[in-house]
Amino acid sequence: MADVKTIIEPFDEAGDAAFRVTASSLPEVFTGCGLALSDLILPRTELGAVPQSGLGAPATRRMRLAAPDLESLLVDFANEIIFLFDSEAFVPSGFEFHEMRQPEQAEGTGNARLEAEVAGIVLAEDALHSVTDRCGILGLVPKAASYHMIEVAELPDGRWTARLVLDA
Amino acid sequence: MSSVWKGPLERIDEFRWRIPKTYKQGMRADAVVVTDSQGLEVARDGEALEQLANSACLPGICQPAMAMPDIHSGYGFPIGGVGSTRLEDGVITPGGIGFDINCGVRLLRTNLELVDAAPKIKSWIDRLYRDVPSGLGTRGPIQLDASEVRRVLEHGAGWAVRSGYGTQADLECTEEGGRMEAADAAAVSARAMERGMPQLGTMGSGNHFVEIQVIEKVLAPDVAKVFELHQDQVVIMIHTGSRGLGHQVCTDYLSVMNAALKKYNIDVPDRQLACAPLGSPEGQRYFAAMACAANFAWANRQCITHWVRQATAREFGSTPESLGMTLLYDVCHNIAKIEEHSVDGRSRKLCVHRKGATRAFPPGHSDVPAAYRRVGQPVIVPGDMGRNSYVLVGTQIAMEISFGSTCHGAGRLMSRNEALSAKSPGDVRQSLAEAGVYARSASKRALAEEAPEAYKDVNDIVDITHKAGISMKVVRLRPLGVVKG
Repeated sequence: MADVKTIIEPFDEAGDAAFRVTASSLPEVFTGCGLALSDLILPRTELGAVPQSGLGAPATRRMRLAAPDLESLLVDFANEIIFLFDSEAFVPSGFEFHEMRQPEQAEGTGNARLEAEVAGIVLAEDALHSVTDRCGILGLVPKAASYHMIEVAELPDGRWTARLVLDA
Repeated sequence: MSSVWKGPLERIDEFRWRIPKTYKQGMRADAVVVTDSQGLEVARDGEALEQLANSACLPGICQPAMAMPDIHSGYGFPIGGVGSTRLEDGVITPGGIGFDINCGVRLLRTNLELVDAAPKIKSWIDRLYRDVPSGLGTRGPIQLDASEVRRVLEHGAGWAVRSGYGTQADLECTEEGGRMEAADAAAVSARAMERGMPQLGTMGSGNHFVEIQVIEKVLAPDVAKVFELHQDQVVIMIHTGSRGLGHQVCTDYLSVMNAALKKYNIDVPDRQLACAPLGSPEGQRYFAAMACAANFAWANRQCITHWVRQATAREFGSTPESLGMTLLYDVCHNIAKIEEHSVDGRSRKLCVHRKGATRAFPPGHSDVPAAYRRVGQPVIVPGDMGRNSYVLVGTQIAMEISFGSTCHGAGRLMSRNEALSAKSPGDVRQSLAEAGVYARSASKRALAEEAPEAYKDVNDIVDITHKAGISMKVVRLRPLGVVKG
């Protein structure tokens, strides 16, 4: 989970969903981005209550990604979360990174890499298609991560920051 | 994060403004926006004009890079952008098409009059809400295996019609006949297919909708007659695209194109404009995959048309045939196509990227269905859910100045966050009800995010296209009820 030092700042861009995340380390920045994205789909305050209400069950998923640079790795990471929701209604609630390498740290390929275990909830069909109310429980479901304004950088004080814009 | 355009804008005439290619290094053509002086002030806000200038940096861009009156900030191209590249030395870019490949609109006629439909709008919309799947989540109503989804990708709306979801007449009134022949399912990733397989026949979220409308005013009686549209007639508009499959195709090929930039020594000012030469293996493969996603979108709109027809027939205790539920036309507004256009006095084949722009071919064009060829191609322009939409018709002027293109909608005025802050979903539903529009949504936020106030007034956009001559007004539509994704 992101610690209290992680700052998530949504901003307005191109009519869609966008945020900047600043944290003390690169894995924490990626965690912040992942949580900001899943909060759009279903805020964690509501996600936590889903298993008790029978509208979903806890689950974990594994991610292993490689990309030529950190920006592409962040785009791939966000797209992986979107894919997990689109294909199996999995909404993340926490990330544990077992590996996070920048391109210059990677051996062989020169690619940035990450490996993570993702905790979350697989939503039941009823959670997706509520007809009892006039609206379902879902919030905004992003459809893709873009390279628009993408940024992953280390700040002079040693913290890390990332900016991500999602097509919704 | 918003910026204001401070670059040059040269007035060509009352409705065209030029960013000269001398504006910045890398521009290979001028860029031209079709708008009026008021629209230009709106366009200046944000990055849209910079993105238009960026689109003029693509290798092989044919003079000029264009933007339609509903121009606003996008990713790579601005929304409302039209970029035509030469086949011999030009590129293709996913950023000139967008994530939702072949997002588009179709309009179904009915023989219902306002007086017949008005008392039933609430129960009709409730039924459409139940019977037309939004597709949020994992399972849609059509379960396909891998071999069947390949057939959808390669045959488009034709697959849907052969599977019982429509008629031959539907195909004749769909752009490209509902199928791009360049489609090759082998160019689509397993992941894209996995996202697409359960979503066929589903609307999706965001600005997608099924809307019941009435023809409020006929503005070109002769053309309306050919289109079989009349005052007080009830019609149904369907707006959706290629769902997760199209997004995944775009995502997959952005990575491919980013690698291609280095391979082909191409420099672009924005990573979202990553591209490859049209004739390269990467370019050809993307075009084949994009065509698959376009075909999926046409099949999707065709299947939704079927659910809409069935639900409406049940609501009125009739049949789709008895209710006259025929298709006026289906247009796509996020796509690249190989088309023939006149350039410097000679006919050339170009790859025309339209991102948030609609094809608007003129009378006599061979790609316009025979039934409409005398008057031109129907152009369907949705507005927001509280205000008007339009049916327009394509013109010769569009062929001469905008590569046969016109606007695609209203364009956002507020970000989603601004819209959410301005009104709650309940408030939006209430104010729509006061305006005589009954609304339902599968998503908690969609109603507020899609509130009428979040969009520009489509009447202003359509006025400009009409006065500029890139498409002409035929009928004005007013919403009665809407199902949002």
